[in-house]
Amino acid sequence: MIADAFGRLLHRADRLLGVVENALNLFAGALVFALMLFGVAQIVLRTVFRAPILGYIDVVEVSMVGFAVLSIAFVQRVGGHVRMELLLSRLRGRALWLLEAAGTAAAAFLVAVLIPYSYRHFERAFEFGDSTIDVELATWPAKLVVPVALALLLLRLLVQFAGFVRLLVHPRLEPVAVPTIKGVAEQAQEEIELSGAARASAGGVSETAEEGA
Amino acid sequence: MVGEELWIGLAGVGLLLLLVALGVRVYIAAALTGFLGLVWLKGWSVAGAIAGTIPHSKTVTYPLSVLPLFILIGFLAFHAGLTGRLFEAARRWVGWVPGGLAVATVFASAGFAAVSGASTATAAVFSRVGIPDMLKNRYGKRLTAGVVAAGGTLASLIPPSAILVVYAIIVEESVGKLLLAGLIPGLVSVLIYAGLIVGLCTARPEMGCAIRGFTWRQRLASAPGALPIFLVIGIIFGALYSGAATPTEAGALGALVVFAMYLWRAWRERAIGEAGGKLREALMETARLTVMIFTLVWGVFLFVRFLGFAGLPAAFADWVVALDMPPLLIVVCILLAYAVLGMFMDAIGMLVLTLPVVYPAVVALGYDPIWFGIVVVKMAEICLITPPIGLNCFVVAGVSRELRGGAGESLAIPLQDVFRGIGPFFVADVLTVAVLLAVPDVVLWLPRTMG
Repeated sequence: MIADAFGRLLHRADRLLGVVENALNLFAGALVFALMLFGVAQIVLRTVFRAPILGYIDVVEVSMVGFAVLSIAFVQRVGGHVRMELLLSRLRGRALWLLEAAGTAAAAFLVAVLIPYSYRHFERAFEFGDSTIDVELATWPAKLVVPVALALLLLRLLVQFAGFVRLLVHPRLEPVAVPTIKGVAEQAQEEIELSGAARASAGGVSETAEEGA
Repeated sequence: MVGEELWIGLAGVGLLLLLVALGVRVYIAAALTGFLGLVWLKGWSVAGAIAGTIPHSKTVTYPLSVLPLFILIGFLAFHAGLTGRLFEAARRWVGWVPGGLAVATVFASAGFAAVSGASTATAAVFSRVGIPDMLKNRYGKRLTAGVVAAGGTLASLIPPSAILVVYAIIVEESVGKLLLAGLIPGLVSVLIYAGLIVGLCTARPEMGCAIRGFTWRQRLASAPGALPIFLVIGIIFGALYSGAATPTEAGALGALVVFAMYLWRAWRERAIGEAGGKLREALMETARLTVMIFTLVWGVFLFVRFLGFAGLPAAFADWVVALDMPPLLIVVCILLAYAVLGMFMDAIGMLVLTLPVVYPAVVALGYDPIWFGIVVVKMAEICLITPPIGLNCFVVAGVSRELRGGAGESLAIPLQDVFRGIGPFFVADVLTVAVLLAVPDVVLWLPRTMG
């Protein structure tokens, strides 16, 4: 249970954003799966039926934004964007939260600048009817995805910033809505869990050994 | 005489390094520095216009679309039940040499690397498969741990490798050529590892014995388990080499094959019901890693645009070329710097940050872009097995803690033993890099013969 009212509020904002982020990330994953099927379809149609999909590359390029940018906020939430934690991992308490808050503020500033300019990039494409080379797909929907994804990222950064400031003021409170730093051992544990299916496939050794005997 | 723009460029590099050292996410550090630098050089509105287009224009290019597919292949491969069979096949075929199980681990890791580009995850999987078997046969703990940790690093040279795709995009080289170029150096690494193990175990047989007594029939019976791997290798290499399909299409077909194997396994184990959940997990992880890399790419391209306006890469290249040192020595110094940097940073992050400045200099010295990519990636891999970070070593020690032997005894291998065990493999890796430096054709021959 979170002790302070502000913490509970942050927790709710975190959960709410999280639902959207999870959905977008799953959508991005599904899009990769669709890209796989589409690529196979292209190979089959081209080599077997000699009828390649018209505008295959155009479609790929227009839809790529879905997995390239869309779930950027999700990765920010889980702390998945690369950084060097050499210094941070040695800090505790206020010093740590101060540095985290400052870093998050810098990120929020940059993203806040990028949103209107990437929106303008979309606007130009929309007004001038910019399209892809082969089959002239409109590029504006893809360009619109960028400011939308960045806006969600900005919300996420603001929640994280508030979370770090809360801890900066009250370092004894339980961290809410902020990614925590993982030591090497914890990172290793995550990798191990990620490949968790290995436990089952290790059983495959004895299984195949019996088949061979 | 150093121009004003160059000073701004140097200040930008300084700010970037400071931000990264303070723990700011690399994409933010790079993009923010790039944007501020552009504001300084070109004014706010021009900088904004440039910055606003880059997240879209630098990510939605067809060559980059291969990346999520390679990542997907890797995540699906973990669920497809390949590892146990691969290891069993490898131990029947090569187990008869001294240290046979360790050699088999190297070969099986290399095989798995052909469907996965993830180094640490490969080490985790083979820890579970290889460690119990090796310890049961009284292999030394250090050798056992070392071979599993080192075997994982093969994943990023042997295609499909995400890190090689990223290198290709950053330096604007052919993705296909780089992927092909990784194959032979990857195999050279395998042979050097295997030679090392055989040498060690011949000198000191108590480290690891040979596993004999398999008939040819048993060997052939184990082959089908490894076949799907060869199928995926065949698809990806056939496509890249002949040019019949783009890397993206080959990646799509490869992913479909691994997906089919995954479904087949789920069906055989009557776990089709769970398959959906695992697929969802694999897709979530794929999306997460994909957007992480794409974000890094556009963040760094914003920084690169600024560096270009400041003229820094060209100036650095001029300076390096004018140095009164043999080019080979300069390249060795650069590689050593990577070895140090890699101790503190993730491999992909390290490459995208440094390449914009380092790469033009290396090319100006007369080195081949593709060759440099392979050598640098090999260096980054070495950092996965060296202290203080050495993530692969932590993974091996972590997995071993959960393992139990036949009588329920713990098979845990302490971290310090893993780090000691990795010693000989570190030497082997340095030897591999030396071979690549001395004989660049090991890297360049295959892409050159490409159609």
